[in-house]
This record gives sequence, C-alpha cells and structure tokens, in this order.
Amino acid sequence: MTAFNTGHGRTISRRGWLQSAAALAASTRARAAFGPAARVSVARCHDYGRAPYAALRTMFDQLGGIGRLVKGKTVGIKLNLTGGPRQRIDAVPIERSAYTHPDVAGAAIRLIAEAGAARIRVLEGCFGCGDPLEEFMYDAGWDPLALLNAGPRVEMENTNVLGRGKRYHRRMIPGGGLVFPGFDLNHSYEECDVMVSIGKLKEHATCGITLSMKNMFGITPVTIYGDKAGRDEPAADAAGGRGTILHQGARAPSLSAPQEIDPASPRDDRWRVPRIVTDLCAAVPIHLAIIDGIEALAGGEGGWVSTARHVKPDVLVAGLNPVSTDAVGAALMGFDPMAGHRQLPFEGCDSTLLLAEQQGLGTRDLGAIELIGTPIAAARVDFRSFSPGPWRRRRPAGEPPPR
Amino acid sequence: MGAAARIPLLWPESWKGSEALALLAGTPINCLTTATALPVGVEPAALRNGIACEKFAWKDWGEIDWSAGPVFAIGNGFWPGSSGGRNLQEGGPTGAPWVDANGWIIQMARARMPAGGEILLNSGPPEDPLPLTTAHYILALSEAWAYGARRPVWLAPQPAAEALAGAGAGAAVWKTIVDLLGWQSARQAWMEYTPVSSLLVVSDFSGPNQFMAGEVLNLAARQHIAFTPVETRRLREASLGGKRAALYVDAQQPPAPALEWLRAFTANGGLLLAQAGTARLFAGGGNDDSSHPRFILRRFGKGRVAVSKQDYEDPWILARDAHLLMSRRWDSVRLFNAGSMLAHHAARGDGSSSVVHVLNYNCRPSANPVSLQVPGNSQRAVLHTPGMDNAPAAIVRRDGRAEIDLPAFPAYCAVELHHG
Repeated sequence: MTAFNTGHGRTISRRGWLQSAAALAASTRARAAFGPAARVSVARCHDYGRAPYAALRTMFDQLGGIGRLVKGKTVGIKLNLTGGPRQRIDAVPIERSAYTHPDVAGAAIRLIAEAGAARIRVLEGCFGCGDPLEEFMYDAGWDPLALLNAGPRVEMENTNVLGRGKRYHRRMIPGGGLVFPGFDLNHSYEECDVMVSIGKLKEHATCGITLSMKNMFGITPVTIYGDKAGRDEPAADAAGGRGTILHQGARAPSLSAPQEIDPASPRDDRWRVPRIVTDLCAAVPIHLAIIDGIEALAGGEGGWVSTARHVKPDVLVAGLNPVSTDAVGAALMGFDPMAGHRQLPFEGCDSTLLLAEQQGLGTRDLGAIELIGTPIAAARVDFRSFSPGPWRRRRPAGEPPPR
Repeated sequence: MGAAARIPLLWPESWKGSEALALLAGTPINCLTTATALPVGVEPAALRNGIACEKFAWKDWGEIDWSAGPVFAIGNGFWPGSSGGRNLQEGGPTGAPWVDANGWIIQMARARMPAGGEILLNSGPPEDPLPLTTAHYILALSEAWAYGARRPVWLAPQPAAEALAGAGAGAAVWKTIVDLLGWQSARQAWMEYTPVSSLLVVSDFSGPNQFMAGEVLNLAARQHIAFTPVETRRLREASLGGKRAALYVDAQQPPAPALEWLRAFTANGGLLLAQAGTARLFAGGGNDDSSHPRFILRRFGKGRVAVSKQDYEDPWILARDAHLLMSRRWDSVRLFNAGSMLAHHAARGDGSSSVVHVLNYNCRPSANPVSLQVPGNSQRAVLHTPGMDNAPAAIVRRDGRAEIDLPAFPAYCAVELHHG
C-alpha cells in the first residue's frame, strides 16, 4: 500500500489521501454551489408543536430553498442530546433546555423529506452509551416514532459505536487540522452526502457557546475517543464521556485512529476543545446549520453546570454556513461574535468562531453576513442577565485558595 | 392473624418492663418480637392488650422453604439507603451512588410464597455511623410496605430510650413512626397490588440459579427497569397481560408446563431471552440476526427469541440487554432527576387504579424537582405523603404518557393514578 506523509509526521494510505482529496473537492463544490454561504435566516418562534415546521419552511425558502441541497441525497441530521436523558433543570423536560427539541428535529426531517431527500439518517453519539438512538429517546420520555415517521426513509443511529456499519470510516481534514489530522467515525458520516447540524442555543463551560459547530463534538465515537476507548483498537462497547482524550489530552485515542498532530500542545481543554471542534467541522462539513433557540440554556450546556438556567428566547436560526449561523446565534445571545480568545463569551477559552474563520470555514463578521428575517436586535436575549455565565476562574498554580 | 397483617415491633433492649406497652396503645403495632427474650411480664401484658408475641426464624432468602409459611421471615435484607457518593468504590457500574434496596427481594419472595403468605423483612442495623434521622426510619418502613411486606419497627438505642421517656428527638421519631403505620393501615389495600411491568424474569431462584436470578432482579431495579419475577413452576398461572418480554434466567431447560407457556407467549408476539440450551427448543423460521453483540435474534411465530451467544455472565448487562431488546418503549414508569430514588408501580387487580411508590434512598429532599412519567391516559392523580393531607397532582400529557411533577420529600411519597 502506498503511503503519504501528511506533513505532520504522520502517514496516510493512498486510499486515505484520495478520500481526503475527495472531501476537499466536495467541500469546495459545496462552497461554490452556495457562494460564500453567509446568508442566515432568523425567525421568532414562540413554542414547539407545529410552529417550528411553519417557521423552518419559511426560513429554508429565505435561504433559497433546500431542494438543490438535499434532493436525491442521503442526509445526515446530527442532533444535540448532551447529558443524561433523565436529567432535568428544575422540572423542565430536557428538550426544552439542553437537547434539540424533537419538534424542531421532526420539522426539519419533514421539510428535508419534502424537498426530495432520498434517505435521512438521524444521528447522535448518545451520552456515554451505545444504546440505539431510538431507545435513548424513549429514555428521555420521547416517542422516536414521531421522528421516524416524519419522512419516508428515516433511520436512526447512535454514532458512538459501529452501529450498522462493519468498520469505522476515516475522515481527514483537508489541508491538515489544528489538533488532529482526521478522525475515525461511524459509517454514517461517510455515507451521508449532506450534513445537517441542529444545535441548541446554549452557553458552554468549555467553549463559551455551543451552537451548530460545537454540536459536532458529539460525532466522535467514544469507543475510540471516550474515557474507556480501546488502546489499540476501538472498544467493543461504548462507555464514559470524552473527558480523558479529547478534553484533557491525557491519553491518545485508539491507536488505530489518526493521532494528535502535536502531542506537546497544551493539555488545557479550553484550548483543545475549540480547536477539535474546528477540526471536526472541517472533516465533516456542515451544509445546513439549524439552531433551536425556542427554549434554551444560559450559563452552561447542561444541568451539571451549576450556573445553567432555562431561558426562552423564542428564536430559530438557520443558515448554509455554520460559522455564520453560529455568529448570528452568538449575537442573539447578546454576545459579540467577533470577540477574540479569552473575551466574552469566551472568557475562559479560545473562540471556536475565530478559529473556524481562520481555517476558512466561514465568516463570523455580521457585516459580511446577509441576515434575513427577524433582525438580531428584535430577537436578542441577554443570556448573561439570566446567569453569570459558566466561567469559574481557575486558580493559578501556587495561588492559595480563596478564604 | 391474616395475610400481611402483622405489624411487628422489635422490642428495644432499653424497654425493661411492661409499662413500655403504654407506648403501643392505640397504635397499629400488633406483634412483638425480639432477638432474645421479652422482659418478664411483657408477654402476658401484651397478650391482654391483643398484641401477639412471636419469635420469627429469620433466614437468608435463599434458605427459606417457600412451600411452608404462612410467615416468611427474611433476615438478610439491607438497611436501605444510599452511599451518597462519599466513597466512589461504592458506586455502581454507572458511577452513580450505590443504593441498598430491598424491593427486589420482596418482589421475588412474593413470587415464590403461596397465596395468603406474609413476608417480613429484616436486616442488621445500619452500618453508617451518622445519626439516623426520622427520614431513615420512614424509608425503611415505607420501602417494605410499598412492595407488600413488613419490616419490624426498630429503634436505635438512644431514640428508643427517649421514646420511652417521652422526651427528646426519639419521642418525635416514635410519634412519626406511629403516625406512618396508621397512614399505611389506611391504605392497606395497596399492599396487595401487583407490579406493573412489561418484563417477566423467570427462574426457580434456587440452587445454581439463585445468584444470577437474584442479581438480575437487584441490578434491574438499580437501573430503573420494572419487572415481574415469576417462579418457573408457576409460569402457567402468570398473566400475559401487558407483558412484552420474558427473561428466562436458568441454564436448565424449563419443565414442560413452563416451556409450553413460554412457547405460547413467544408465538403470540412476545420476546424470550434464553440461553442456548433452552433456545434450541424454539426452532423458528427465517434468518438469524447476529448483529447484537451478545444475542442472536430469531423469529418464532409472531415473536422473537434472543439466544445468548454465551452463558449469562454479568447480571447488570443481562438486565440491561433484556430491557433494550424489549424496548424502553414499554417502560411502566420513568423518573426524571431521580438521583438516589427508586419507583415501584403497582396496580389494583381490576386495573382501575394504580400507585407509584417513590422512595428516596438519600433521605433528604432532592435539590432538583423530580418528575415521574407513566404510560396511558390517567384521568386523575393524587399525591399521598405521610404526615400530609392528600393533594391532587397535575397531569401533563406528553407523547401519549402522563407526567406528574413531585414536590420535594425526604423519604417517601406515592402517586395514586385513576385510569377509569
């Protein structure tokens, strides 16, 4: 087998190189097809139920229609189901705070199916487990049949594990990555022609914000990137979170997968995770970004963050470029998407928006984004008025604890 | 004395004379027992007051002759509670604080005892050196009662002395216990309710099968998986109503009547999980599906047989596999923000009403509101909390299920659901 040096001290196979080249070409084609892809639609949406369908239909029209994107294609839809399915903040069902709401997912599925998608696969690396995604949804108190019946060929897969695949598939980052040169992923991310990320409008204790891009952190299979990942090969079963390998860099992913470019790079998760998210978004480009901000979370991404508070911004965001879409999402939360590293809302971390922009994934400059629908000023909700934010100051080494 | 009628008190050592019987006047306690001997004069005085004095042969559940009775005194229960996360070594496979619970033992005992039997459950005193609160006593007594058994009233030495003196915290604990027993007596019918579950766990629960079958029940409960244990020889009597899966635990093939029942159950659409020796009696059509890491799935009539690829090894995983292969769709109760709580859903014989008992093994009110979800269209829900008036509970409909938010409670509450 012919091997190539990636320039990062690693080699990849000819097959891997061809896949990377194909991915780069596909990514370039996508950009060419949708121009700078800086058009973002914002809509007020005051409740779940049927309202998201009508709102998203209008928003997709405002984006120029999604038919040309999805017709005849296999479409992957990555949901955000962060945290245990039975954990709630106060008595609020988790889909009204931390999870993508099934009514938003259902509306998107239906619209994508109506636009002619050949097949739709609903995807998530379910929190710390390899259970079928349908079963994970039941555990959250949902009926997954509502999603499976929202279109003619809808499937689900928990991408923490092999699922229906026989092996993991490698997605290399065109031009090289920031932390990893590529990732080994569930077959679905290889098989889907179009990637849709439906994130939630939330602050995040490691990345500042989590919208459509940070949502992709969950595509990494925990059998390879999880706390109990196999050393040489992927573990057979999924267990644990992504703290040890991806957050802390305390150990390597399974050796069968692409390894870190620079093992001497910082082990600080607030440096690492924004870069890994950027890498993932480059390895698996998002073609349609949707943010569920009808109800959301200020101050953190889940109930385990003590500052997390349920909020109701009554807004949906959609765009064809995730960087631009997330920039608008950040602005709707009361933040400046042009903020640099270690600036609000990235006080304790680096800005994923900045890193992604630097990597050429899109613009975060609101002045360069064509905003359609509800103006930001009319829909903005100051998240920090509900919560002081997720950052807890880290005590420098040697500094005595506060009295 | 009739079934489930004994409400026993483990006579405290510090109660030296029959004058202590005055504490029992007007209470539901109707039976005295002791590890040694009652003080002189107590027994005749008790009998004069209609209180029986009995010495029970407390045994490990694995050593009890379940054909005898009518009283089955299980002595190897646990003092219920949670490790509270103080020691990670006590965490379960999920890392969650470990819960010492007895519901599974009582459910198994009810499956094995003859009709009209009565279950008493006891354990050693709590190991935790922290002082017990009133909530700990409420939890211990409520847990046994909720599953259809009785735990003898037991007081730690200091509260026992204080109760006798009518002063101090012990007196308040005693009053709370007496009030709780009265509250339970007013709801005596609930003890006869049967578990609402979709999963049967079938075993003889003895000999070489005792450990695996017992641990499956224990660890299924810990994973909030509702189940109905059935002794293999009684399978013919078991109701098919609402059951979706049967986990046949034992390595040996079931005897003919049970096999016949299992075949009918599976042929009519049920899922049977079994080891290879039993599964080979279920030759079906179609191709085997080997995609599951631990089971091969094959059709049998309208149902499926899940054949274990190897002998059962890990009861935690076995319970989890049974649940997932059956599907959580059929969960009979779900708790949200449960922490160290467990729920037990039991229904009246005619199905017109049911009760969800919620036990808080942390013994302090949860910091996060707890919600429960049950299937179906319950028309009305009533919250029952010891020491408080009954209160209507609001039902929120969600995906064809009923959801009820619970107020904070330290040890126990129940939600009565009317389905008519």
